[in-house]
Amino acid sequence: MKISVVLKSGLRLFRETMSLNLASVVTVITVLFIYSMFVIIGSSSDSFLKEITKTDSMRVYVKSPTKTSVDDLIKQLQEIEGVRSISYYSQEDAFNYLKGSTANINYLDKIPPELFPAFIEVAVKDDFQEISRLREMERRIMSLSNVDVASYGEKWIQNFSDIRSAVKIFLVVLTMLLTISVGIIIFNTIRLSLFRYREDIKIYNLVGATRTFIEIPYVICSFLEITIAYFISSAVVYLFMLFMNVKLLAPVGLNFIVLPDVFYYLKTYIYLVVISTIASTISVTSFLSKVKSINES
Amino acid sequence: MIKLYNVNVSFFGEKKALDGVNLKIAPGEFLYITGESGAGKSTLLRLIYADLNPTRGIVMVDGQNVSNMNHRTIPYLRRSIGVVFQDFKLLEEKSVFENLRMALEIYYLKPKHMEEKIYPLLKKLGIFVKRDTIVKKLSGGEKQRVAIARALINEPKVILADEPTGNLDNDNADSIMRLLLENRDKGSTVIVATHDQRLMEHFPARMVELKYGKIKHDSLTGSTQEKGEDDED
Repeated sequence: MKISVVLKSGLRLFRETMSLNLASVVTVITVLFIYSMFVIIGSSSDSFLKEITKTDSMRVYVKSPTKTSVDDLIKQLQEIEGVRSISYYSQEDAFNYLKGSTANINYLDKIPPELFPAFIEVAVKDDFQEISRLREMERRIMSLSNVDVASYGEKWIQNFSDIRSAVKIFLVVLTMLLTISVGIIIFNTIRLSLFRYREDIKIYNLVGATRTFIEIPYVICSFLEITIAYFISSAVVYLFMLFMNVKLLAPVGLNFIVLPDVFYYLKTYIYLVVISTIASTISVTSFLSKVKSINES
Repeated sequence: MIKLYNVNVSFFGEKKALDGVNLKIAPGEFLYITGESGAGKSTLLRLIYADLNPTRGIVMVDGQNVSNMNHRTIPYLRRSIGVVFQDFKLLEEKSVFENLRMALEIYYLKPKHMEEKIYPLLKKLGIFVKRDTIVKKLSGGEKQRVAIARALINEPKVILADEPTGNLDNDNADSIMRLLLENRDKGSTVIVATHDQRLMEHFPARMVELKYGKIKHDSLTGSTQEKGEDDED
């Protein structure tokens, strides 16, 4: 009975302060729309960069590609931690490898295979594909005799990793800004509503209403605000992204935008509900501590 | 029931609104607080329902020290006290029923149960027909009766009335007094702040007269507070 009465009072308050709530809902929708756009583009870019910087192998060029020295080197490489498998490419294999990956370039046939360096492709285990572990592996390989160069495209990986870090920092800052802006919007909306009902609150105080009794309808009101704003903004973002993917990006061959999964939506919603609950509670408690006595104007 | 020990109240460190007041009010007692404007009548009432903390001294209500009561405990104290204000303190834009409902909402009662409590009281006070009327459309006397109804709706142990008959003619004033006495007979302690001599003569009861924040005369004890009586406890 108590819960239903409290819920009803929250709904009644939301209805009675509809004009205030609508302004707040529209503002939160705008903020969430901008935030979601950045998050989707940011996370899509991140997963795209992650994909292209994925290093699952390292190329080791040998100084002297004789059979015994290569066999020795392969044995030594197999003992290094993180190595999954090893494939040797002779000069001939290297030449064929290049021809296979660059189709329809006939002039390659005129180049002698002796010009291509023999190499060993070292496949790296999943756990060892981080840049720090790759560096360690490269250092150990370079210390082996008969190794000319060990390469895994560090410069590119480093550049892309820096971009990914920057994107992550940007998203963290954006999330903090979202928290602050949504919190302030809810705080102010509730505060305006409290001012509108300050005389009612004084009377409730006089007749023995507890703080919880006064607080809960406002918290419910903020919950409704954030829920409505969130679902509308999510729908708008989804439709907008779908339109961008289908009508704008797909025709030019770009399809790196990845819409977040249900888990992301659920997580964001819970986060927003927590922010709005905290903001509305602070708004009410700080107002109640300042509200004057019924005997004072 | 209500005890004040050497109570002082001063606002912003200036002139004392109450000065060394000692007073004991028994359960079920009917008491007039009288005195000129500014004598400290309203201040004394505010201390009892914990709307004000004394600058010094102790205020006990029903065995609880309300002098520095925690804000979480105050609502439970106020549920046992009904207050009637001279200027009503009603919500002008709400109906009579809605004004009374506010005092019952805090108990999470069903609408039906609220009606069962509100309607008989409105009938008793002769304003049942006005139950759906917006308060601002009521006369002063009707508003006063709504304010009294709100104070009585939860059958409080203590009723504090600040000039409850100030806006009423003699007949209406007498009916309000009879209602307050009826509640006294049911066990409530009633404290009426007034300077209406006719009322005090017509419904005689213990009378405490305040002057410049001190008790000038208490008809029960016959005592008069002397200067310097407000020494440290």
